[in-house]
Amino acid sequence: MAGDVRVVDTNLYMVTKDTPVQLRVTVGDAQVGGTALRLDGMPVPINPATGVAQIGQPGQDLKRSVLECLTTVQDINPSSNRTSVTYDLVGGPAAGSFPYTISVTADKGLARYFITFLFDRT
Amino acid sequence: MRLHCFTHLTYAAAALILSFAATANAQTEPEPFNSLRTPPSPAFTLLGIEPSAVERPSTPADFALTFLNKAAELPSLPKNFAVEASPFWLKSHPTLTWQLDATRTPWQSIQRTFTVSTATYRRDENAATDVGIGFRTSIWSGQLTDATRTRLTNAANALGRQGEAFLDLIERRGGAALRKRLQDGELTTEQFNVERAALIATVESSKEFQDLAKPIKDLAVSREGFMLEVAGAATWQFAGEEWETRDLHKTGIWVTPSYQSGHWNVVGVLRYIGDELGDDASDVTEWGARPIYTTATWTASVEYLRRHVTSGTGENTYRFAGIVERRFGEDTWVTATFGRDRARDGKAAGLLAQLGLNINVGKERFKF
Repeated sequence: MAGDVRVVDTNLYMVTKDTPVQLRVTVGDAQVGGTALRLDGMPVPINPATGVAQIGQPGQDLKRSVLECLTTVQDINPSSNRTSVTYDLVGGPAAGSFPYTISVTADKGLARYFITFLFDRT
Repeated sequence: MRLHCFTHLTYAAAALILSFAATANAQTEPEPFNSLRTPPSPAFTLLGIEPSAVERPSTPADFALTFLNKAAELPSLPKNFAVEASPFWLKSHPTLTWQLDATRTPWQSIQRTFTVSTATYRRDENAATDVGIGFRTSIWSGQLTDATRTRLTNAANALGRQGEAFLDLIERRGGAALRKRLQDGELTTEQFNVERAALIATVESSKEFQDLAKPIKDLAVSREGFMLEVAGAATWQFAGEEWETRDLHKTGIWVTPSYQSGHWNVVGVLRYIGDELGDDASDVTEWGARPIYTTATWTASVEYLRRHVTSGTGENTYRFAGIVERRFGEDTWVTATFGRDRARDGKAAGLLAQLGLNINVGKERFKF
């Protein structure tokens, strides 16, 4: 649709053996958005109120697993066409924060963030 | 002739009112009714212009570039130039969710609603250029209505479901194979990004995607409670476009308190306009109020506006009118105004009877 934009990116995140990670998705700039997740092609539930999801189960090895995130943001802010989404991961040896921002080109346009995380271990 | 026109006006107004009966029970929350607030661009209002092109930079770099582009016209002033910016929103606020913006402290409200506007306008009649500078902000901006919060929560859920369907489409159309190549080390992350972007573009052009990917409609964000807006502006006239010839032309201050609750909105206004130039230079203070009842398709209000001339020509006078508006379609409004207009241009106060049509209005629907 006119005004729709997208962001595509892939990140590497180091995980701890047999330990799940927690993902938090924050939609900023006072816009509204929803997130869908798939781990190795299987849907993962995410709490829409908090934007928090548990990735993997205790005892599950996430090495070389792929987490695909799609956050769809709609511009509702009358003062700005900018959208921003931050993905925060904890549970590995180090926490990771992955911020993104893009402006829609028309009011009430959609911004889609296709962010992929490849999990690995040393 | 006057009676003939008045009869027609009466019939038209009656038709307008009758059409409201069919929709008086509308349950939809009314759209934000902000046409009576302080002018969104005080500098433009004081200059009395509606710029056809307004620069609205969205980043500090854009803001600087806007002025740099105009610097090429120096030492003369830009002919017609308008820019409006909200400093707070020139940078990203990644942690400011809509939920955190539902309520604001006064300082947060001032920050998030503060805008500056500036414009130049060349008047061909006297070869002078007017320059205006203004600001606007809300000290109190109410809070999101419960209905808005529910709508936004539902919208977020719907956008999430849309995303799930989109990921499913991608998975079925090659996403699974692409992911395996990444996992097996056949692709670097950069290569994966390129191929994934191409796959996404292919899916986006499919009919399946077109059917599911639509923006959520009816996402009007409404605020309720007490609101207080203030604005100010000043204009200078430069005769012959020379700096030394500058003269302060007009100053203006607006204070607009209001209270919104459900279908009711009560708006007050206190404004001062000082005109320093010309044979009819004068200082005018106006104050008044308007209670408004709004539904999704019509509004009704009563307006009282008192005008006090503190210096210069003109007499103290007032305006009292009833105003009814009806919406047809998405952006067409028919307005009927009836009452007593204030004395103008040396003439006594007269009958106010207007029937107006506004199409594709994104700004004020009527003046206050």
